[in-house]
Amino acid sequence: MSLEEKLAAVREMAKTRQPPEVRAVMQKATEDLRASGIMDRVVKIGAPAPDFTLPNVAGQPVSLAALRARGPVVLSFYRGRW
Amino acid sequence: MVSPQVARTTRETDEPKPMTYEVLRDLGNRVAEQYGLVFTLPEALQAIYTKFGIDLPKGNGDGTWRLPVPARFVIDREGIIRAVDADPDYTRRPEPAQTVEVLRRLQSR
Repeated sequence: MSLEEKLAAVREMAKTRQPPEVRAVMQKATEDLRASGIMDRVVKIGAPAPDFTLPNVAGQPVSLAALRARGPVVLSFYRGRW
Repeated sequence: MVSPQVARTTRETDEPKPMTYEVLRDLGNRVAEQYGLVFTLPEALQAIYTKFGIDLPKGNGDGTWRLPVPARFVIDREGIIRAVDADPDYTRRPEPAQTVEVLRRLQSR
């Protein structure tokens, strides 16, 4: 099963679990965010990736420069686990 | 993998997996900001999450309701961005197979 198929199933389940008024606020927040133009500010294909150094879970600093010296890098931003 | 969360919660994501990756903590969403991804949750949604018992300002560790738009970038060895997938709707994520395909193309260069 593709990731999108799995996510579609989760979205369907959420519809039955969330009160309509909560769903409405969530949907409006997503629509407003899309309309805010934020996507125009996301760095684009062909641009240099801003370098950074961040701590990993062991507290060790990890830089993008060091990671890409080993090969292409997949950089994934996520909200965290709630 | 980059998240604003405090180390305790981020560590839960860093369980043994059949692949290697770094889970990095982006306190205050500073790097996410450089990539153009940061926004503040609207107050109506803050109220709902608070009712759900989700204390994002505490989880983020910076006292804010700011989050990154979920996004995936592929960066080549020279530091150039070769693929961007980002969607304001956090329930939509790019298909991993597409990212793998981009990596294959980069590897075979």
